[in-house]
Formats: sequence, C-alpha cells, structure tokens
Amino acid sequence: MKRILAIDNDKAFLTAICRTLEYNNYKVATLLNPLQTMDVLNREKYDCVLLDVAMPGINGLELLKQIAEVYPLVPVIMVSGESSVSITAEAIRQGAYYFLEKPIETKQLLVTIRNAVENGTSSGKQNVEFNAM
Amino acid sequence: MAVFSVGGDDEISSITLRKNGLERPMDIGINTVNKFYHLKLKKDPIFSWLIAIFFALFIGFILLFLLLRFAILQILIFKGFLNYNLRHSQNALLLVNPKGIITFFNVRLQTLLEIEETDIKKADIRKVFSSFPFVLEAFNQAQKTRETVRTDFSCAIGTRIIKGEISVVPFKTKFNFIYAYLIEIREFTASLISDRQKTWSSTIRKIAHSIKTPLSTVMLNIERIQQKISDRDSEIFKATENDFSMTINEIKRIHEMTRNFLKFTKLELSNVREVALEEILRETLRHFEAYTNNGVTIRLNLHPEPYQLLGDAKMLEMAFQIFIENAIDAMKGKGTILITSSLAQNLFEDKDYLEIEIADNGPGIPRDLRDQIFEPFMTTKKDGSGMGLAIARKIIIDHGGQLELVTKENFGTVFRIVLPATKGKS
Repeated sequence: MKRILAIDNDKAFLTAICRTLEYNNYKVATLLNPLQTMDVLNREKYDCVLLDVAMPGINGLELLKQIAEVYPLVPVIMVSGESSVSITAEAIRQGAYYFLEKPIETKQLLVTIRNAVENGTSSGKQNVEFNAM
Repeated sequence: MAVFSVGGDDEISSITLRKNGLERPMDIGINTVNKFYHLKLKKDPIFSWLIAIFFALFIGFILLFLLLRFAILQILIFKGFLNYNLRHSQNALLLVNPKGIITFFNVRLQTLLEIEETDIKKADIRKVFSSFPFVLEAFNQAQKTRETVRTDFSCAIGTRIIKGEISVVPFKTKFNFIYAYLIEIREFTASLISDRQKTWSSTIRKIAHSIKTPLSTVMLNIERIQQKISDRDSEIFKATENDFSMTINEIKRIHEMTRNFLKFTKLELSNVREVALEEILRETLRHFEAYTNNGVTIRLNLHPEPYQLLGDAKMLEMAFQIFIENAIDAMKGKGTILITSSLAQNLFEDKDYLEIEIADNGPGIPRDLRDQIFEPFMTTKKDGSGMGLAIARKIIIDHGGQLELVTKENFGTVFRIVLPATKGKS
C-alpha cells in the first residue's frame, strides 16, 4: 500500500483528505505542524507528499525546497487556495511535481496522486494545472 | 608723444643730454634765458604690467560671462522645474494677481472643477469661480487679512461631490507688498475611496482564499460519501445521484463566486469581448424572476440598433444586478423599474456610447447620502455589506464608462451609465 504524507494546518481538510485517500487504498499520515515535516520524513519513507502553501510557521514553498534537497525522489504535490502565476512558477522552480488549486475534486486528487506515485519525482517530471487569478 | 614748451617771453638757449651710466637712460637739460629745466626719463611702472593687466581683465570678463551664463541657466532650470511641477501637480493650482486676475492655472484645476481653458485665461477670479463660493470666500479672506487662509470644503460638481482643503497663500515682498496669491485645492475624495478600496480588496482576498479550504473539505467529504454509496448500494446511488450532483454544483458555484470576487479585487476583466446590452440584461433579469412575479415590474426600452459593448459580460452583469437590487430595495419590493438605452455620439471624439438608465419610482436618496453611496462600506441596510454600489461603480469605470446618479426625494432614483459602444454586424 502506497504511503502518503499530507501536511496542512486545517484539521478538517486533513481529515477529509485522509479519509478519501484511505478509502481509495492509500496509507495516509497527516501533519498539522509543518515544522515537524523533516523529522517525520527522516523516520519513515513516503511515496508522495501533499503540501499546503500557506501555513503558519513556515511557508510551504520553503518546506518544498528543503524536501526536494533531502528527498529528491519523493514527489511533492502543492495544494493552495491561491494559484497565482508567480506562486505556481516558484513551486515548479523549487521542484514540485504538481500544483493543485483548492477546492480539490476527488477525481482530480486521485489521478494526480496515482501519477505522482507511479511516475513522479519532485524534481523533473512536473505538470502544472492552475487557473490564473 | 610729449610736447614741451616754455612759457612767456622765455626762449630756449641750449639742450643738453646728461649721461647717467650705461644702465639708466639719459637726462635732458634745457637752458632757457631765465630758467633751467632738468627732464628725467622715468620708466612707466604700469607699462611692463600692461599685457598682464589686459590678460587678467580678459579672464575676468570670461569668468563673469560664465558666471552669468550659469546663473541664467540655473534660473531657467528652476523656472522650468517650477513650471513643470505647478502644471503637473496633483493639487489644483491657481495664481492670481492682487486685482484678482488669473495669471496661471494648471490642468488639475480644470479637470477637478471641470472648467474650460477659454473661460479662465486672464479672467477675473470672481467671474470664473462664481459657482465655486468656497474659492471666492477663501480668496476674499486672504485679501482682507493679508495672511494665509486654509480651510476644508465640500462642493457639488454636477452629480459629483468633491471634498478637500483649499489654501490661499499671499506672496509678499520684504516691504509687505502683496504681488500674487497662490490658491491650492487639494482633493481628498479619491484618496479616501482608494484607501478604503485597498483595505477592502485585501480583506476580501483573504476571505475568498480562506473559503476555499472548507469548500475543499466539503467537496471531498460529499464525493467520498457518494463513492461509498455507489460501492455498496447502486439503488440508493441512483436515487441520490441527482441530489449529490446538485450539491456539488452549488459548491462549484460558490467557488466560482470567490474566483469572480478575486478577479474583481485585482480589477481584472478576464473575458473581454463584444457583447450586446440586451444579452447582458437578459441574463441579469433571470436573477429577478421571483421579484417580477411578486410586485416588481421591470420594463425595457432599448435602443433598436444592434450596438455592442466591449467588456466582460459577467462583470457587467454583476454591475447591472447590483443597480437593480438597489432599485428593488429602495422600492421595498413593490414598484416599477424602467431600463432604457439610447445611443449617444461624441462628435469631438468620433465615438459612440450607449447611455443606459435604470430608473425606479422609489422614495429617492436623501441629499446627505448622495455623495456617499458609491463609497465602500457605506450602507443604510441592516444586513448590507456596503460594497454593492462601490463594486458596480468600479466595474463601470473599468469598462471606460461613467456613472451618474440622479435622484429626487419622493420621486425616485436614476442610475445613468454611459459605456463605449460599437455598431454590431446585424
């Protein structure tokens, strides 16, 4: 069973993501405090990371950079309520596999995670989908 | 050449040269009958410095010329700089001589107070500003007191209300003689609205972004519930499929609304195209079907020729929806709204405009509220956000249009919207 790490400071959103992915046969760990990310990744191996952009304590893009440096083979999917061209471009530059704009639809989430787990690394094969606002 | 002559009856008897050694010139001795003249040749002390003096004078003249040229250039630069600043000042400026004759004014003054240039050149301030008593009052007070006058004002220009500060500064010589008055008008209305709109934009952006996370949660939860039902009981799935679909569509609609708000706060007209007014109004009026069946009558009287507006149909729809909502609110849900459009051609610019009027027969807007209703957060409604008309105004202005309010208490209100238009194909 593929393991997913979801990081977001919104508990309800994390629970929804967790339940949806678990229902679709993924093993999910959730993290409310983004500052613990590197510790969690050091302890266990994950096949994909779902990472929110706007979080207190550390910016998602900064965290992405750290993950991509230490774990370049782990695909990171960025999730954000704001999908401006600049944020998306920065995420891709830092090595994000994909950029999902909230609200996320289940189908879109599952297809993206499946592709990331099967084909993706955080630096290299990137796809972008966003609606510039 | 020196001329020597002896006076009276005296006569020269002899002239002798007297040697003083090899280094010095000889003296001349002149014997006359009565006198002896001893003439000594002396070297002119200035003679040897003459070239140097001429050279120094020449350099002096050149320096003086350069200094003068530098001074004139500095004066011209300063004059140009001053002139540029006065002309392009953000404040309206007016220079008046002590008799009250206008000697200078800038473009801002004309645009702010809507004054034609021909009306103002070398004219008497009392004539030009007869309809702006706040200017004359401040000027008269400065003339009387001979001191700077600074005061706040509020003034109606057409349907526009401007607020600001006027100052009249007398320019005096050292002997207290006044040779000009500088009148400066600073407008606060725009900056006030702009600051509030910036705050509002930033707030609404934060709210809109925050809404997306709970929307995501709801969306994922609903879709998961539907997925579970689908996996376990195909009969219940079929029976609830339509309900789920409706709910998910509504969530998508909320998302679309937040996107539109975000677009608006960034002042983006994302989908600009030629669109018929009739098409926009038809879409807009669909939102009011419940009202038109219950006490509100909306009548359309549109210009027959197919003229197109260039704009974002969704944004214009939002603006018209706001105007109509305001009309319905004003009429307390009962009355008639008349929407008319007519073609206006600007002969000077060779441009066509559609003048659209949305008139209601409600109670009208009280005089003291007229200058505030387009300001953000201004509302008289209990549950109103005070953003509606501010948004509508912004949309119209973003489309290169103009918005005017004509209202009379107990007679109703007309929103007059002027938008650039082009003639359609058919």
